[in-house]
Amino acid sequence: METILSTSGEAGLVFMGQMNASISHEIKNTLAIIKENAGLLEDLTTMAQQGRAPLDPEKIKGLAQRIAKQIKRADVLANNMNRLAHSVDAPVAQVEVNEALDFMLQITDRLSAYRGAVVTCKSCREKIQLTTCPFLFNHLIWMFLSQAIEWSGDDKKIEVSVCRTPHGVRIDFAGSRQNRIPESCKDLSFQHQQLLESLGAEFQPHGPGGGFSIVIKPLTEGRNRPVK
Amino acid sequence: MRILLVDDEVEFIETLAERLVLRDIAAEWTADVDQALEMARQKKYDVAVLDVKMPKLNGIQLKRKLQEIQPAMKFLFLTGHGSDEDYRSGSSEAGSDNYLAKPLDIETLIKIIKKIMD
Repeated sequence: METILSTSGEAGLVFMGQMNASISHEIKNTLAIIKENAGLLEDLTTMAQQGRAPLDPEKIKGLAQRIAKQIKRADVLANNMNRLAHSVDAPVAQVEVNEALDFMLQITDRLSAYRGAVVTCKSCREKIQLTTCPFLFNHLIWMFLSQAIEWSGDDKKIEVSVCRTPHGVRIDFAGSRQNRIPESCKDLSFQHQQLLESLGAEFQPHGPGGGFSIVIKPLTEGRNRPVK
Repeated sequence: MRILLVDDEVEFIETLAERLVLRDIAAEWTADVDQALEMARQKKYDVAVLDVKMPKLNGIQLKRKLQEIQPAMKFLFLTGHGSDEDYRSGSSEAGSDNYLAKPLDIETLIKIIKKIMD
């Protein structure tokens, strides 16, 4: 039985793989920090046992705090990985858009940074509920954020914001020097078009240098049923 | 022997440098690629230990720039890759066998650095 999730196809798998690799890479980094700090604790205690240098309680405390901080960081990363994995649990669900956007920007922060981009989020104060496919929504955010980074020039500063519209939500991707944005949806890649269509979303360029918006309508009950 | 350590994870690279210094190895660190280039302009380093994934310049790009400043410098790459598949793709990307996955074993690191120097 096919549902809306099936429309994500190969591109959805690639997205999931990319996120998984990035988060596990970051978990490895936290483990590396924990290992070095634990190693340094061992080095210092061994030196103290051998009478080569006295133990400095402040130093020991600082190293223990660093380890605790990294454990907390790894816990957040593991939770994010788990949350992303569970985004495929239901084909259609209620999503709080601000929170979902924050989540996606958080898990893709490092990927954006590796591409030299600085991404900021201007959250809306009011809670915006949207009935949508959580997994495809996450994929859409990354696909267009990634595209916004590519379209921006050397100065890769992207501001993402969200607002309610009469028929759904609008997510704006603003940034300086985004001057390679296509004039219409037709000029986007097939994958972009397919994802927009699956979610009932629309691509709206703002004109030269002005960024673009994605307008997403809520999925109806009918869309919740199998596509075929 | 003087070693330059470059990784954008400050708490990792700072602690690694401290542990190497405790083992009488002259290790200096930075989390910033521009500063790494500046350090190489100021002082001679025998080996550079570089993280592969860093903002601004990745480890491979940084290696090329450091080589322009100090052609005799040797290189060792570090990565936080999560699996054997990742490790293989990273090591082929680096074009180097001198490639270590995080978390590190410091004694293995020292052994490889000495091997590179030989």
